[in-house]
Amino acid sequence: MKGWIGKRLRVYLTEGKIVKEDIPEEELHRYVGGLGLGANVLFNEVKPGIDPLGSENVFIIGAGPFSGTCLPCSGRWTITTKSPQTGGYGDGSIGGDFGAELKFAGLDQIVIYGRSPKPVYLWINDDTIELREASHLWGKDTWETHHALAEELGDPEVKSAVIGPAGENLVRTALIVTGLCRTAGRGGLGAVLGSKNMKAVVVRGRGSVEVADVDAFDRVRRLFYKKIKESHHINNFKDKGTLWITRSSAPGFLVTRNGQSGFFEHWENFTSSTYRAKFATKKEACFACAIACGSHYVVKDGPYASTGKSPEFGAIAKYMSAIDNENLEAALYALTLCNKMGLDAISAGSVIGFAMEAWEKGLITAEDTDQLDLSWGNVDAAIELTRKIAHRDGFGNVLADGSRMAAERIEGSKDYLCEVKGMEWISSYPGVGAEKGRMLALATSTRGADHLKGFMAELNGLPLTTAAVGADKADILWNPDHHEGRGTLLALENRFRAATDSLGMCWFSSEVQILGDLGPEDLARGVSAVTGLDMDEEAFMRMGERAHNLQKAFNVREGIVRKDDTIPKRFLVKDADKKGIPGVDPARFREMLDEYYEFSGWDMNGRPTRSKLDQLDLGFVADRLGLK
Amino acid sequence: MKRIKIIQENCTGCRLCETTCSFAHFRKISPELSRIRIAKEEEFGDHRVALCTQCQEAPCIEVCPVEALTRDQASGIVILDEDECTGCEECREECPTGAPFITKEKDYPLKCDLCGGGEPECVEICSRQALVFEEAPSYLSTHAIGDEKR
Repeated sequence: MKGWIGKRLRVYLTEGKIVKEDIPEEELHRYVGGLGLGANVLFNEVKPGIDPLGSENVFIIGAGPFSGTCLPCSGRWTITTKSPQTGGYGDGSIGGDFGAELKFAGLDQIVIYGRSPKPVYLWINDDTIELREASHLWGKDTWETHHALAEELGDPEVKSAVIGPAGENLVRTALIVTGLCRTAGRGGLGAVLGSKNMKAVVVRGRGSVEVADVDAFDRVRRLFYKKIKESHHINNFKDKGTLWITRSSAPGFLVTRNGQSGFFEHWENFTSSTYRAKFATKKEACFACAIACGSHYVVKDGPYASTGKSPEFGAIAKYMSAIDNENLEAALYALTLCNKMGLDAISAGSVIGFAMEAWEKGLITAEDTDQLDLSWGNVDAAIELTRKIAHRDGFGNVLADGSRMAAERIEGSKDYLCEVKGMEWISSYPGVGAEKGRMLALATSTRGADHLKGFMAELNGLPLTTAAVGADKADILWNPDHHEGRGTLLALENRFRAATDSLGMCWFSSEVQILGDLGPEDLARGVSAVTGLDMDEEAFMRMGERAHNLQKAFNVREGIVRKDDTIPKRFLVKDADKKGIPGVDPARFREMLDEYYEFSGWDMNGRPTRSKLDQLDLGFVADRLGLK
Repeated sequence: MKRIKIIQENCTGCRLCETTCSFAHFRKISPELSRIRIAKEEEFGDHRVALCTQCQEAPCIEVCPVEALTRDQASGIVILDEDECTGCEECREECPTGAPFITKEKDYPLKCDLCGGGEPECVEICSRQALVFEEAPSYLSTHAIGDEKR
């Protein structure tokens, strides 16, 4: 076997038992790795209706066939579990060095079951694998834990994935951190590990990854490197980091004051150029990354003095525009605090913005908020509240389960929710005059209000897209005033994203192919060279479609269907553009959703059909869903 | 001669140099089989790059008890004769960069051979110019402190 190691670790925490097994070749050929392999295990091994924070949930870590190779941008790995935030399919693609190290330690996947009677961490040192006592680490923040593990294991090169106090306290927006600041941020994955009494997974590997066809691989790695180096779009990330998005979102797409507006007056305070001029010190990359979108920063002095890295647009904007704060130093401080607490900054900043709107509307007062003044722009209160959320302290406990559950506790606040399926909205869109197809992407993403399952940019302009939407309609996909074809494009992108996340490739290397990023044909060539599978563009997209349908089927089994594929009430606005407010016309949205379901081969309630599942060799999924 | 210069402040810690090196030499991908090593420092990005710099006065050549290390007169590259090497590790002890790396995979230490001529693979793949291949009579990186890793 080449590319893959062909090994899976099953860890039974309740019994303290660890079993290493071969992964059947057929399973690898079908689901490939990372996302696909994880979605299959999740669908098969998690019973419907279980409590995501109960011992019946499983926590899956998976590398891809590209992980650990020298293909540029192959440093991603995937965590899969039932999300405690949405009650549905939860996953996170995460960078750093951990995924590659897992392969070097001789594993493709880890599946963690049950609940440990006492705090533990999993230590994988090549073939020596054990559960170790973690009581002394419980309560430590993620940075302290990272350093303590390296010290305790006597090797600065160990790679760890850890939770902080938020995960321990079962905060439903808790995340997993590796390398101090790289995170599987969304959906509360950290709370699942916390519920299992597991502080960390630590790995050190000294083995190697082999590829099926060394000559073909040598050509493919050079091709990837060349394309990544020359893509105009990728060079944005390379030069500016993700904060370049601030400037492009400024004309009305920045989620401001909990989504009340798309315009943020102080947007120039958090552009990439402002950040780089004042705070950035050094570029920072994940394993095998030729882009290095991340950077280290230093805020030297003052109340927000801090050091950290990877201040991404999505997270920073939540502590800027979403809460109407104009001070970037404070936002950087808040982001690093979130990373240390093991808390998703996007959701934390969002739920604080939501609370600030509840304050504005007079639904809560200082009596409810432990005397914190939640006026717009009070970033010090936001920082204090972030700490309280991580520790479920006082008013923090009201917000610690995310904004949907907070709305149950704050009377009259439901109309101000800015979430999908219980997961808080990202930091941009819907803007005035913007591409409304992106609303469809956020509405239908399997894990909530999130753009990482396809975002209307990846495949636009490619021959396969033109073939799917029809030559006559391909051009209007560039025109934000039209919505025809959007559903088809998104369905294709779902497949593409599920495929890239199964390989271990970074989103940023394949985001806008028309500008020269890696496309399905390039990546299919990579799969053939690395694994020996005979894969072309069509087979690649089919592999992704299979993995995406597994995610969808998991949600359908949990009762998550069309009613949940929607956007916040405040964004469903008739004639929004004409009124100059963020939103999309409900009728237009419905039409896009119908087209999306139809092209996906799902029924109008958003459920995969038996014929579609059979076509994808997922007949067993149709059986389990009871489809005729 | 042309040597690899390490510009530590440009290193992002991506380690493509490590894995590309092992692939170029062994057709397998493993940091453990690399002739260049990055010790990552996560907080400030103060990563340490360790690599043989082909010293003009090479202590490894002096100390090798079996004369397995020699300088190729034409290219200037310090060459290890892997068959002659007994794996005594004295070269590593004397090396100012700590660069001949000991690995359980091989019975000889791994040291940079500049890919035998032309632009080395690690330099070619370094997207941030932390590694530069340039003409230098004698270059010893002050940043190349290999003892911190393995």
